[in-house]
Amino acid sequence: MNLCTESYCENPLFAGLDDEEVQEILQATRSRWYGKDEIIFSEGDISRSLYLMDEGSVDIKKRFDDQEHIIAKLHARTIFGEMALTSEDPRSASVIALERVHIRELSASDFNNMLRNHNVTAGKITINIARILTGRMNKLLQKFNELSNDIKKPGLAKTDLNTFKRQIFSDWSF
Amino acid sequence: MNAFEATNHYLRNSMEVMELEERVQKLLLQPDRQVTVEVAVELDNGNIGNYVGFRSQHSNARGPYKGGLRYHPSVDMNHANSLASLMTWKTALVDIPYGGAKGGINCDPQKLSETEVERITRKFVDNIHDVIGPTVDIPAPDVNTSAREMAWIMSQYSKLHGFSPGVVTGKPLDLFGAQGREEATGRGVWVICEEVLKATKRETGNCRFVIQGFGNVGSYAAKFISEAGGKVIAVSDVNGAIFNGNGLDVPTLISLVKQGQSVSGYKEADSISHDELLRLECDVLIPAALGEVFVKDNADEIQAKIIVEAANGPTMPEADEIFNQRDILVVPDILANAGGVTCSYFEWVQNMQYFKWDLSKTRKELDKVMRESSRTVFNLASSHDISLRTAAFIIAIGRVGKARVLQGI
Repeated sequence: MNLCTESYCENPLFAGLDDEEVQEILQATRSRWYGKDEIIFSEGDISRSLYLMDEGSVDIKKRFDDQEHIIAKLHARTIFGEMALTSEDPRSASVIALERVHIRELSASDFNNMLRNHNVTAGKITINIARILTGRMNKLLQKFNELSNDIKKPGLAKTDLNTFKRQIFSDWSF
Repeated sequence: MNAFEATNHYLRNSMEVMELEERVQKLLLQPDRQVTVEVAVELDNGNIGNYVGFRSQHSNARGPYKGGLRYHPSVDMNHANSLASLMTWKTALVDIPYGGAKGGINCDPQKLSETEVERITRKFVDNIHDVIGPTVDIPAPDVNTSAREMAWIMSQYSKLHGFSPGVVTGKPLDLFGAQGREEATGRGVWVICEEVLKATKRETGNCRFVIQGFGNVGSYAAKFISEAGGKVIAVSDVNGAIFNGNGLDVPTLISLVKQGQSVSGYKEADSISHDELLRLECDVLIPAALGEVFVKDNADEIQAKIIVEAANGPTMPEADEIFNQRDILVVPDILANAGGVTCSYFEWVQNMQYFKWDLSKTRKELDKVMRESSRTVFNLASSHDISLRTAAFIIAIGRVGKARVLQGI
């Protein structure tokens, strides 16, 4: 069986894993096939698996403003659903096959078993998940700071008008 | 760079010192309204004369627009915009309730008869009357315009809007003009001299003054300085310059000039060149004639301790920098010659109240305005260690800025 380890090695989830370790993970997965328009999982589902897509492409869809919007398209050799390995929250988006899709599913229970058996690869992946989440959190924080700077609080926000008021009423008062 | 470009340079410079952001600078510099009108009249020979009139209304944040009307072939909208902005800063600096405007008609009055100028003036009023008015925009005399033109403007505007003496200032004394208008700029220069001497621990009685230009401004400045005990040691006009280290007799000089003679006709003095006059050792040097007097080439040779800019734009930026380095104190034009517009304001106040002040009242109020303005400038300059010129612009910008902000931009 061709396990196509190479392309998955570049995924941050597998950072620091050697070929053998990637193989080890791939062997723990179950192969699944989906037809066009078939739902792999839906937003709100409590399914707990990580997916590695060998073939095909999928749409990631999310509901907001009472409508379903496509928020991303994923192609072969990508990994999705990684949050489910460490979180018990419902799925935050739906994944729908755009064509015939070959996917490898790694269930959270299998992954947890590996961890319980002190499996080094599973440990490395856990650390990678922590790194990915930290990166996302930092980006989110940065965005939050930008947004809160934009909110106009009189006398606080650093707008050019407020700067001008400070200049004429205090810096250069006479 | 010419004189008024130099003034704009100083204005920009002060905005940099204040660290004003680009959008704030734009807000302060852009004129509120620019009006162009066609002025077509019948000339004396029966032909049609086509002229173009302009009015730039820069800011009315602090009160009605205010500024001169000039009749000159160089008049255009750019020119008017720049000069209108300067009026805004000048009226703000002396804290009178006006904004800034400027305008005029592109024509050569030397080639026009009196009746032609009258027809042009009245037609101009017909075309701009709905954007001027005693509480809207109040024109005044400027290059090639005088009390005569102001009387025509008042007459024409009053035909359209009813009796309105307050629509222009600088009117003839017999037609709602103000007592003391003629001497006002020169008197203001003298008050400023007194204040700057006091601030630098000097006394007028012990000081020597040199005055370049002996027209309306220079001669009245000389009169008040000599009456206060100051020694005027040299003066000049277009025809020549005279010097007497023991002092000139100013009343004699004034009567000489009133008879239509040049100051060089004065007997008890040595005749000197215009350049020599500028290089004389003295306490106060007053350029009261032209712009662009002090340039890079002569700034090192000036021996005065204080320069009071009675004329508009006499100091070019390179010279200004040299004066700063050499610790020569320069009182900027927007402060030193603001007596004129201040007295215009008094004329308007009297017109609006249908009331008349006597000369002593005008003088008292003028002295007060000039004193208070100069003290504000001196205080800001010393507390922030900046030049008087920068301080003057900062005060003006601050006042206009406050008025804008308090009204909601």
